[in-house]
This record gives sequence, structure tokens and C-alpha cells, in this order.
Amino acid sequence: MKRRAPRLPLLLRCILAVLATASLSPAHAAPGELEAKIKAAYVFHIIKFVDWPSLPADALQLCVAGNDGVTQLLVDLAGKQVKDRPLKIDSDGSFEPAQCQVLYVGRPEKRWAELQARLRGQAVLTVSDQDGFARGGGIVGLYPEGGKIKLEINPDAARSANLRISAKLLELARTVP
Amino acid sequence: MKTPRIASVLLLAPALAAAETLPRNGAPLENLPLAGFVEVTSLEQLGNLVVTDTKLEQSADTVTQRIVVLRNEEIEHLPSPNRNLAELMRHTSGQFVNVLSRNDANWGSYAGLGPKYNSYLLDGLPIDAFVDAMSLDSAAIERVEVHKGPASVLYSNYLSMDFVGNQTPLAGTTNFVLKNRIDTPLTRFSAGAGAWGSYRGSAYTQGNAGQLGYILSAGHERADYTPYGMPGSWLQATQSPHYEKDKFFLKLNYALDRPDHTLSLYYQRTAHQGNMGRPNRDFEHHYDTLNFAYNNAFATDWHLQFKYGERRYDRNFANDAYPASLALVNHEATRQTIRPADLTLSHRHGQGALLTLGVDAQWVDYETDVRSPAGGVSAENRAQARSTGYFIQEKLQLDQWILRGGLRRNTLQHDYARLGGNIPATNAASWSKNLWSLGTRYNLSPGLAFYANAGSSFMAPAAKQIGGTVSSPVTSGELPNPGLKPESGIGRDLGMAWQPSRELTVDLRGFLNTLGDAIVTNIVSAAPSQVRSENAGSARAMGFELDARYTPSAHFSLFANLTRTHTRVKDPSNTDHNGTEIPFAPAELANAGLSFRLPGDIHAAAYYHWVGRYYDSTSRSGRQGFGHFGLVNARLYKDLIHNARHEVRLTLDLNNLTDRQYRMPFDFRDPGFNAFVGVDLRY
Repeated sequence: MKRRAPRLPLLLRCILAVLATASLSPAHAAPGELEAKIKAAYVFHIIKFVDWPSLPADALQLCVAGNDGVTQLLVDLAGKQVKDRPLKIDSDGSFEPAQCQVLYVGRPEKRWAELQARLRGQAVLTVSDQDGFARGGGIVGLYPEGGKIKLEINPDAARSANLRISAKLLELARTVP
Repeated sequence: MKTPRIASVLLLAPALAAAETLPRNGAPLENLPLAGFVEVTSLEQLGNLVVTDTKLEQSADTVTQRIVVLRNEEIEHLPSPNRNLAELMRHTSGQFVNVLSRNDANWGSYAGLGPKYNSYLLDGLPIDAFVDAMSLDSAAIERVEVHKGPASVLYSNYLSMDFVGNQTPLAGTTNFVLKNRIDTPLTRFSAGAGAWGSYRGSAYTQGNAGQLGYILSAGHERADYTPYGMPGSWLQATQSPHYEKDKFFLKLNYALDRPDHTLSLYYQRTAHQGNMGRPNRDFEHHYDTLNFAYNNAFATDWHLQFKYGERRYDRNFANDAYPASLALVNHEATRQTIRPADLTLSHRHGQGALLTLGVDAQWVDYETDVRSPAGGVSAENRAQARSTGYFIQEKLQLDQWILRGGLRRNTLQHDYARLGGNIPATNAASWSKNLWSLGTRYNLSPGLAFYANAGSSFMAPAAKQIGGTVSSPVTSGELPNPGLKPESGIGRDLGMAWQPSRELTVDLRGFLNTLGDAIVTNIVSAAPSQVRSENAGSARAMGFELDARYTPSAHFSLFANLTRTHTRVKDPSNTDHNGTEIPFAPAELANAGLSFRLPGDIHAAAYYHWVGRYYDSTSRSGRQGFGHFGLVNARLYKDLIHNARHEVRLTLDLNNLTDRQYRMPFDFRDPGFNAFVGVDLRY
């Protein structure tokens, strides 16, 4: 006698059918707000894994250049504790780059070349999601790949800035020359 | 064509949405303001990192093996009617979780192979897949990484010499990753009550003092547990069973000079006592678990890890002579200490390449005694074991290809001073084995990847199979077989990871696991009752796992998975065993679940679990069939108070809603429907 294959319960078959149908449905519009939030969160977490030769006692200064979704969000981090001191956010564009510990360069920012020249030899961690940022002399670049935001790090640029990047951070980033 | 930036970037969202039950205000994670978002996410989570494949955190899409991650916030909301860590994996594909009772171990299986072929790790150091899952506290766990496929190059066998023998990561390994990072202080009190007079209370606190992060937790649980054996069986109760369980753990993490140069210490003690429902069937167990770790990323591309652990198992049972008599016959005591150690060096080089090499070792002491009612103590078993392993693995990234290869040399030594109360003629055995592992992954597009892996492993015989337990030719027991070889196995898998949209993920994995020199125990004589273990067979398990998860909104998600497995034992020397199925491996497993929000801001999650047919033995004439049942568990919770400083949450667990009192091997039976109400205060 031919053995009948065991049947899955009706509920389970219904759920599998819903999932199969879902695979054919178009993707929802991707909210840019989440992308910006993830990038801004990266900036916050990256700071924990970088060592500066010295830090001001009162606050760690995060300067923000440009005006995009990420730069607008970073202002919300003002006062958050990181490396045992509060974050001070300077986003009005009047900052002196050499006085910052971290400089985030937003996408529309056109002055990167000028800022880069003023930062030469200064212990400032530069972060941006601009294409080719780390290859162009920045320290940490954020880029999309495989559906995720990923990191690329330029170790030579970090060394020039006298910053020590934690191996933990390097382990999850790709390094660029 | 270049993938549109925004569309590809936000494929991270399902990973975050999977944790949508986390936020303490009940809001989805992605909707939190940035200040809160950075508190509940970590670099590991943002990078979708997994650690088990290489011992260093790596992005999941650079890993050749499939790793399912259950994060702390998800763990907190999974039903666990028997308070057993194995139950957390019950709804992932391929896992058959068979927790016999709240007082007994998990006799499940994975990928068509029995419980000895899926090892467990605690932060990368082996633990016992049977007993430790019952004793460890889930509050210490940051995430669970279920590593599917062979993992025996980087991880050793666990030399559990108790009744289960060895455990090896051939079909997979499950890594319980401890909480290491304390971002914010938190104190939590929980209390609850439920069916069978169950009461539970716990206190938990975490915080930082300078460079020191700490967690302290203590809990107590007691229950007049219901009879959980088949009527008339050796588990028949004549009174209500009762148990009490106390758990305490401490976790310290100290950053020496940098966040990646750390010392950490974890210690847990569990005391478990009670009776199994008869006047002289009481038990008292103590479990101590210690993990020490030193981590040092000492240069830009070099990372050193040293880990050392101690697992002490002190188990005491009283035995009666049921059904002939309820009088005390004796007390059995088992004391076992297992000390694993691991030294691993990792070197990053080239474009994303990672070299991993190191050495691991284990030292085991195993003793059992029997004490008569008059107080006389006789030594039953005295054995020691030690193992050493040397391993090396290289992982390369070439554009969209990931290539991984590794080798291990393992040496294992057993010494037997006493077995079954006798001094055995064979008092030592040793084996050396070379193991290998290969894997590849191809990321075809941002949402689609293919992978394949293969690796070898082995399973050493148990002490009594080598040394025997009979004292003379006319006594019953196991006859010695000093020439017994280890079982050797090869695991293989081939899979696809597909994310067709932001809301949907689909995974398909096929597997083929084969065992050679399978150890089978044959009856040599009926009177006296004597058996001998021999390398007489082979076994094969093949099948597939299909997983899907759909998260259309922050307040509604759906998942389902299906596993089909075909297993066969080959033993031409024994027609009773030849052609039968591998024990404890169901032919089908299926799960479905959904979480949603009800009116009144009540969050609900429901899980359905289906188990197909499985058997308890390879003997066609003596085996019993089990399975073919479905279970429904549900959990409801509501935040009664929520503000910036406090949160009070009410939780209701409804387990086994259809009251299926299904049979399990060894005459166990699930007690059926039960409910538990809990209150959780956090500040």
C-alpha cells in the first residue's frame, strides 16, 4: 500500500501561503529617516572605539558640516555621555575644525577639500557617507552594501591624525588605502 | 546596474523590526528618537555581526555558514514552559526540542542527528547540551547564535562523561553569548505565579563603576509540579512532585585601558532540589559554571583571546524499588568537573581576510558513588579524560565570494580507575583525529546569497563502552571493547539566503550528514544480561529547512518554517537495526508564529509547533514511536506604567493551549495546559 505523505496542519499551510504571496509583493517605500538614524547611530558608537592623544575634560565636541538627514539628527545626541564626558554638538558651521574631536561631513557638503587642508595633523576623527570619503583622505566612510550600512576605514589617515582605531572597529570595517 | 541606495540600505530594517518587542515603551525600535535608538542598539547590531563562525565579530554576510541570531529582547518574549534554554530555539528550523520535564534534560535533535551531534557553547566555551540548558539563567544571555552546519574545526567536542558520553558540533553548534556591554544602569524585579503552585521571583541589576561593568542576579522558583510520567511507569507518582530552584549569577567586565582590552568573569550557581513524586525519589543538584575571558586587540590587525571555564555538576538522586516497594534502595551521587580552555589568535590581512589559529584543551574528572540506606558508600566509577586540539582557519574575501577552510588536530585520552564498581582490565584509551572544514558563500546581489559548507567530526566512545561494567563472566552489564573506534562524521550543507523586500526574508538550507563506524550496542547474552558496543554501522540524515519571516509593520510580524528529514541507519550485521531511522530525529518539524497588537495596547505573540513521527531506538523490534502532535503557546503583555524612570509590565503565558499531553521517550509525558502570570518592574 502506498504510504500517504503526512500533511501539515491547515493553519501552518495558510501561513506559508501568506508568506509566499508576500514574496511577490513589491517592497514598501524605504524610509530615508531610518537610513539617517542608522548612520547617526554609527557615528555615536564609532566614537567609543577611537582613542585620542588627549581629550578635553568638559566635553567631547562633535562638529557637523553640511545639511542633510544625518546632520540634522546628530543634534539630538547633544549631552549623551560617551568616553565619560557629554557630547557637545556644533552644527552652526562656525566651528574651528581643529577644535573638534569628531567632524561629520554631510552629503551636500562641498567644502571637504578645504576642511581637509585645515585638519592636517590635527587629532580629529572625520566621518562621512560621501562616496569615496575614506579613499579621499577621510578616516571613516559609511557606505551601503548588501542591504546594510557598512564601514570603511583609512588607517593611514587615522595614523596621520594621531588617532588609534580599535581593532574591534577594524574587524567589522573594510580598510582602504 | 547600481542598486538604488535607499532601497538597499533599508534592508537592515527587518533585523531591527525583529527586535520590535524590545523598546521599553512598546514603540518599534526604528521609531525611537535617536538618543534612545543609540541606547538600545550596539555596533554589533548595526553591523549585523555574528561571532561564532570565526570567534571574532564578523558581518553575517561574510560568513559562509548560516547563523540564526536570537537577541536578548526576543529571548525575553519567547515561551519557555520548562525554563530550559533549549526551548528558546524550539521555533527555529531544524530544531527538535524535547525537554522531558522541568527537572530533566533536553533530548532533542538537530538536522536529523541525535542530541550528541549538536553542541552548546557559553561565550565560545563548551557546555553540556543536556544539563546546562536546564541550569543556566537566560537573563545572563545577550544573544543566542544558532550556527547551522559543521563547526568542529574551531570548537572541540565536549567531554561530558556522564550518561550521554561526548558531544560534538557536527550538525551545528549553539552559542549562548553573554552580556558584555553595559550602557545604562538597570534594575529589575520580577515575580509571578502559575499552574501547579508555581511561584517565581528574581532581582537583577546592572551598572558601571569606572571601567568595570557588572551584572548581579538572583532568583528563586518553586512548584508543586504535576505528575509528568506515564501512568504505571517508573515515573509513577504517589504524591505531588515538588521542586525548588535557586539561581545566582555574577558577570564582571573590566576594560583595562581600551574597550577592546578586557577581562571578564562570569559565575553562576544553581541549586535544584525536590522529589519526583514518591517518598524516596528525592534529588538534590548543584551546578557551578564559570567563564573567564581575556581579550586583547593588541595591534591593528591582531587579536588575542584566552578563555578558561569550569563546569561542576554535583547530582544526587535517591532510588526506590517501585513498583515492588517504595522503600529507599540507595542514593546515587555523580560529581563531574570539566575545565575547558581556549587560546585563539586572529590576524586580519589583505582585503577582509581573517586567519584564526589556536589551541584548546579540556580536563575532566568523573566520579559516581552509591550510598546504601545504612550509610555505606561504594565507589562505582572513577574516570578522567583530557583532550588537546590545534586548529587553523583562513577566511578570504574575493569580491562577492567568501572562501573558508580549516584544519584541526585533536587528541583525546581516557583513564579509567573504576567502572561499574569494578577495576577494569582496560584502564586507558586514546585517539588522535585530523578534522577539516571548507565553506564558501557568494553574494549575488544585496538581497540574495548562496552558500555551501562541509566538515568532519568524530565522537569518542563512552567510558563504559571501552572498559565495560561487568565484574565476572556471569554478571550482567556491558562487556568491554577496548578496540572500539570513535564514530566519524561528515556534515554538508547548501543554502540560499534571500531578502526579496524590506519586509520579507526567506532562507532555504539543504543538509546531508553521514556517520561512519557508528557505535551500536548489541545484546550478547540474555542471562546474564550482557551487551557489547561495536563499530558496526553507518547512518545518514538528509533533508531541508525552509524559513520565512514577514514583517509588514512594526506591530505585526509573521514567521514560518518547515524541516523535512530522511534518516537511515545501516547495520548489515543486525537485521533488527538495519534500515531503521536515527532515534530522536522527527521526519517533519514545522513552526509558525505571529506577533501583533490587540486593542487596549496589549501585545500578543502566538507560536505553533508541529512535531512529526520519531522513534527512541534503532531497534525495530524494541523501539517506540512518538510525535505527530502540534502545540500552541501564547504570550500577552501590557505596560501598566511607563514613563521615563519606571516601567511596570504585566505578562500572561498560556502554554500548550490545546492541552496535548503528548508522550515522550523514557515514559515521560507533557503535563498539558498551563498558565503563568508575571509582573516585571524596571527602573
